[in-house]
Amino acid sequence: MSTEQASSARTEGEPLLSIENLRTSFYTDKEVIRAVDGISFDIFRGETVGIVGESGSGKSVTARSIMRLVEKPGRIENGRIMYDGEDLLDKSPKQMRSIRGGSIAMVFQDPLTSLNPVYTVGNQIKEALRLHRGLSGSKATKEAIELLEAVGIPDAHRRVREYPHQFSGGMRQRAVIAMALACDPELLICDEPTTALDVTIQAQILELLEELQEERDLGIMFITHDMGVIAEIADRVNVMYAGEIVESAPVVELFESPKHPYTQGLLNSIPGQGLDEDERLATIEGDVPTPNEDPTYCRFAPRCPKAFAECDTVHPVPVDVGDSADDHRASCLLYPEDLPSEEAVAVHREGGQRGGDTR
Amino acid sequence: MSRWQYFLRRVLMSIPVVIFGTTITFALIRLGPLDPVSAILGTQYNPQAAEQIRTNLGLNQPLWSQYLDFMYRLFTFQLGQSWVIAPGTTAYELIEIYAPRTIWLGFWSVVIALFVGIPLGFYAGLNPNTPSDYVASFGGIVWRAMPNFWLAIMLVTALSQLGTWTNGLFTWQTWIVRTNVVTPPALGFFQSPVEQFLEDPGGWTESFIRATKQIAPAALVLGSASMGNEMRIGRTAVLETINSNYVETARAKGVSGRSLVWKHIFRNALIPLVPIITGEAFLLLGGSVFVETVFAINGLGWLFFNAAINGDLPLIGTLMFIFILILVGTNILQDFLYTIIDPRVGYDGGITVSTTTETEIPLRQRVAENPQPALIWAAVGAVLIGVELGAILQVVGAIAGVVVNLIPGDPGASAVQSLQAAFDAIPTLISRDVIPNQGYWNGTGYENTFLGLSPAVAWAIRVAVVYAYAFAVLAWAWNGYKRFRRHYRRVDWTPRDDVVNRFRGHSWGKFGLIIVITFVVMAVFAPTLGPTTMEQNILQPYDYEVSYWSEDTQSVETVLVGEANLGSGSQGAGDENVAPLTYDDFGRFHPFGTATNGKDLFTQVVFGARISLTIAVVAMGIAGLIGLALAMITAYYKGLADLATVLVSDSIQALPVIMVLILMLVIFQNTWVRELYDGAVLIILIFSIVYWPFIWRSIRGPALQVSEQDWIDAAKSFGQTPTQVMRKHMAPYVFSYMLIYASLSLGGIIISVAGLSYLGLGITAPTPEWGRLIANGQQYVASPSWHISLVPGLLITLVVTGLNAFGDGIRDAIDPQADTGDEAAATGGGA
Repeated sequence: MSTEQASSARTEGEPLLSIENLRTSFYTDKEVIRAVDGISFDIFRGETVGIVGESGSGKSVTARSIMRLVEKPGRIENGRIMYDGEDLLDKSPKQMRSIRGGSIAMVFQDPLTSLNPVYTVGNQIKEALRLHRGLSGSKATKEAIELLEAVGIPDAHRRVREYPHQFSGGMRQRAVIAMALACDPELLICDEPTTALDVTIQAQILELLEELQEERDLGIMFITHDMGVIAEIADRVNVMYAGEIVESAPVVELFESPKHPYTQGLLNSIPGQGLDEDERLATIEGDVPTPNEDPTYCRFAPRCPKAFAECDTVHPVPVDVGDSADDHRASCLLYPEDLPSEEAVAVHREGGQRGGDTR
Repeated sequence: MSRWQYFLRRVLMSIPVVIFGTTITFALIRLGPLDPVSAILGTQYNPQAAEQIRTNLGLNQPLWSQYLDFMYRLFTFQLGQSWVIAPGTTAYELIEIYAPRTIWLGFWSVVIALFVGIPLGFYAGLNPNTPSDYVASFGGIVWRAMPNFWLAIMLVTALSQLGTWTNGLFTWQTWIVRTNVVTPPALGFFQSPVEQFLEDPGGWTESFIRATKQIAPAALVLGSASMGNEMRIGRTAVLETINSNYVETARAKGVSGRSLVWKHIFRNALIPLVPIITGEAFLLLGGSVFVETVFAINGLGWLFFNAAINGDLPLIGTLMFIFILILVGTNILQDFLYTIIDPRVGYDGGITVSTTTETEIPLRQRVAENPQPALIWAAVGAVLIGVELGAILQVVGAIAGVVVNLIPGDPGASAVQSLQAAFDAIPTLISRDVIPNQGYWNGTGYENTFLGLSPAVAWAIRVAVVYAYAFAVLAWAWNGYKRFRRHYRRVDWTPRDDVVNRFRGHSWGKFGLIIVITFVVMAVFAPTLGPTTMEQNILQPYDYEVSYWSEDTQSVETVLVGEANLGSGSQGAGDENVAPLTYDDFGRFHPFGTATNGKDLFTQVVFGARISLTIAVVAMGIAGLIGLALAMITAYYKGLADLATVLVSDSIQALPVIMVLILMLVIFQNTWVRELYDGAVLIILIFSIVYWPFIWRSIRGPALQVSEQDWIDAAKSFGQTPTQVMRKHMAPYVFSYMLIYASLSLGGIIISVAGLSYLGLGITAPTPEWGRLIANGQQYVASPSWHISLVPGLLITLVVTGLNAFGDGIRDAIDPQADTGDEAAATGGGA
């Protein structure tokens, strides 16, 4: 998965998954929280798209929305999730079940609890095989062993009969990945798959994902709050803040010239970025706000060091900010950079009036 | 350690438990003050025959030889014979007659509990917070709060009266097959079922249905507590499983709804149900005594009860041994089920521990700096205490009197007496004297009542004032806490605030708290709340007089209270009944009606509340202290101390609680301990001994966890003594877990005490007790005098529901993840 390969994939053909203007809200007694509020992005075959953001920025809800696993009181309210040319939001529950695990698979954050403790690891992999590929009996067992071997679990024919608690954390995450890969999905959604693991194990899992991607031409959506992990694995990065994507760029471009003040802040807060000894690590003061109404302002403005008066009244829309054709977009009133401030604001103001709900 | 090694170890551990449990039984029987020989001979006692029996029973041997003999016989299954209730009959014969009925009863109650309780609980868990969930959950909670014996009485009455109530449309006795409501089941068809069935299929099926119908009501009652427990735990387990990550993973894998529920949810939700299901054995054994007594099913429970009250000690020893075997066997079964169902068994996983920190505050200084909030609060407090000062001082005087009485020679008795007289003279707001209700109609108006109102209204006002005062005091105390929190506490936040806040958001817990407060106020203010006094109406009725308006003579007459009571009993018929909220012929108002002997039911109920509460709280307090102390010692020293305590507590827990209570009450029947407070002191002691292992068990885990904490090592490294470490650094952490368990067990104790009193073993007259009131009115449930049994039973149900709800609230407030296990504790071992 080199960057050239991925960007060549981008220019060719259709995206594997295309999300347009997705909004998912949670209806609580007090308010309606727009956990995901009008985001759009694409994932191509063989490409890893990273989603980064602080806790509560809507990363996991995005993943669950794609899988249609949002539970009450949550509701997908608007947008389209185009997969293979069809809108997943139009699928019946039954169709959706065959897509889950079959075409799109998901790896969750905590490997310690995402395997059912009362069934053997093999049993849980075989369940997926039976559901999507109709395999059973010794065939399924053989396949399960092969999958465990594929994810680098030694002595797989013995391990397949063991229970989750007999696996270490890293092994368990490998088993979860094996389960996800059971039915040859085209898209793998990883929701912070390395957060709960030790650093060395993290590296192993990332390596494993890269290998698997190369072998199977997988599209991967990788959610994390760890910029270091993103730099390692992603081809393209979407930065989320309070339910919105504030910046989207190829990984190298993003790290080299972040445009959105939030992204800049995030990158400055990473330790070991060649700071001088007496320089202090930057932090972003405050917390992510709860997005609970129609956006008529920039949600980052209260914490933004570069905020000005219009930030409170105009909602920024994504604009091209890249120097080249690299498809680098940011939602910030500071851009387009080449325009004077007032005209730039006007671009956003107009952009905000266009486009409405599609469902 | 593999699962099966773990299981094997559990099986081996049960051997010393059986031995130790049997030893405890031996100690109870032989070391207790009850003489087996005089029980056997009864009235025909003569020294010669006694000596003969002594030799036969081996009572002349030294004690150690008797012990070895006893153990040897039991463990080689030479079970001996009965000496008193069926002299000469071997234990085997007796068991052959009585056991099948109990097995039949137990079988059906397990079936009812399993196949109604678990599905309902799972259904409620799958549809949480829907109306059907609320109905099922609330129903389950109330259902298990009802004392078995009371429920049985009510059910017997209802079934017997169905024909009358429905005008003959439906009679239980003739439904499907003709049976009596109260009868031992006819189990003849069971002797060689296959042959009998082949011979006469129709007749066999009819006998089967008949026997099932005969047992069904009893099984429903006996299964009630387990059913409620299984429903509650089933619901929680399903709720927890649904929200687990592996269920989400399964969903993301494309698993369909039905398969998700059956494979991934139910299987996991069964694990916490295992101890509840096997715990049924305890409830069934204990409950069988009561249910078999009410339904006249002559089974093992009934046999044991009769052997106990008749002092048939050899038979008791044998039966206890069998019960121990059954219960230990059930425990092994439980471990076996665990081994099968939960692959994690025997695997030592890491346990996470939450930590608490405390801050000490020099309060006095903070108050001095900002005295106003404290002064306002103190002033309100002074007023509240001031109006009741007389009552408080009277209590002090009474205690002083008791203390003086205990000291040999009664020094200063006269001083105390004059002090008491002085205290009595201080007026109090809420007293019978200020708001009197015991007046009479003089032809034109009421005399000697509050403002000349009718006795009923005067009484109602007094009750209202008492409760208003009690809630005012509580509001004042709560306000004090809030003032302290706002003005004087050094820190803005402590972990305890979260506990308080969580409880405040727990409406079910608050509902429980209100019931508990109502009950406690009833117990504390019992003398003031009653329409008459204990002394006048119950203890010394012939020393007091009552004036009333006689219709015959058209004048005010005077009669002794005792004679008035005789004329106002509730014994079923219309003119021999004083219903709730009515006056009797002597112008006395009875809020709950009268008992069969004409004594006021309400007065008995409030004093009954007092004794129930005293027993429950004191017994739980003592058991808690023992449990806490042992938990500290075993967690601190571990090793041998822990092993020894495990052995002792396992052995005590392997004894059927109710049976042990019955046995001990019988054994200490004629001793001086039994006389103290009409048996309450003895009951408290017995409950403390029986309950501490349960408390120790429930806090052993947290105690071990805390002993592993770094702060314990830190404290040790500062050179603190073991006792200091235990007291300051371990006990506070474990205490909250004990509180959870204790609050959940109080209801169980109240039910048990009522059950024992119902059997005539608990609190004896003259002290009123709810269970005895239920027994008192048992035969009048279907008559106009239904109130005698119904009111105390409903009150027990309400109070136990309240206590359980309060316990749930405390548990969720202190530690939402707390696993205190043992649901049986909340249901009084089956009483």
